[in-house]
Amino acid sequence: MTSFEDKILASVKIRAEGINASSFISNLRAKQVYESNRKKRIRSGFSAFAFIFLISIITFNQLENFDNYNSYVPFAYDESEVYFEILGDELNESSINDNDLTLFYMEESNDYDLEILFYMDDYLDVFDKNGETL
Amino acid sequence: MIDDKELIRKFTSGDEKAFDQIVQNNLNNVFGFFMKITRDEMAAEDLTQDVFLKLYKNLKNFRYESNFSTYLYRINSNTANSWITRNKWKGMLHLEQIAEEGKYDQNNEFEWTRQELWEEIAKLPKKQRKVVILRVTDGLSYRDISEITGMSEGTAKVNFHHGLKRLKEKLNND
Repeated sequence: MTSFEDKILASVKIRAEGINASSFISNLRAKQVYESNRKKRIRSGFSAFAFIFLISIITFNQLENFDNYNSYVPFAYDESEVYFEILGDELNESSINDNDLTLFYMEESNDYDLEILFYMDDYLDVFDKNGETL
Repeated sequence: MIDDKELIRKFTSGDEKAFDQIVQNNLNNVFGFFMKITRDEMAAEDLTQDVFLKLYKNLKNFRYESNFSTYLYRINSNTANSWITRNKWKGMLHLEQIAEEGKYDQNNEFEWTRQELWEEIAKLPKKQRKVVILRVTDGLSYRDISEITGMSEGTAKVNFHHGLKRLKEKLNND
């Protein structure tokens, strides 16, 4: 075994020439700078990814709740009460007359039809001539 | 020449020049260690750089009760071990091709080539490989090997003999 060990030791031996210390140290410094920059790049890349991920989550969440944000849920009121007051139901008559009802519909609709406005103008004139008011 | 431990103290207190001095003091030993394994100046220099980079990062954790050379050998051994393992799987231990003819390759009198030897060393179990590398490359004593690897002297001896036996079987049978 010993002779085999000696053989291996002998086979591994080399006459390695020395290495230039100053150039090695400058290469080492360059590698250190490279490594630290690489780490910084990885860190900033990760931060950017986290930021984009966070923004995506927020945006996705907002888009998912888009209908809720635009349906004025916080200001919603019980419509059945209003419709009951205006239209009544099968048993109770509405306390509002036809004129009020027409005005109500006009106020509720966002786009006023010019034709209807003209019609209503004439309509109101008639009422005025009769000495009645709305 | 200032003692390595004194240089470490200086370095840990912020003197960057002290690290350069540590590198200068130990450069040829580390480079020689890797030259014996790789037979390639470029690869040996890369591995030497890796060792000193690791040293730079971890030197603040150095405990002064142990020898600095032992600490450095531990880094050498781990770096060599990972290089061998990495290249074993890549199949890149082309040591004979890398070596310039006549410069490092003087083992024509042996039954095996250096490539075969290092390929067989790479196939050894990790503990045996560590001990064999340290013993073969720098001829360290079992006591030193036990300090570096953290195993007992007896275990180091047993691992070396098992490793050597396996190498003998493989290399002499080929």
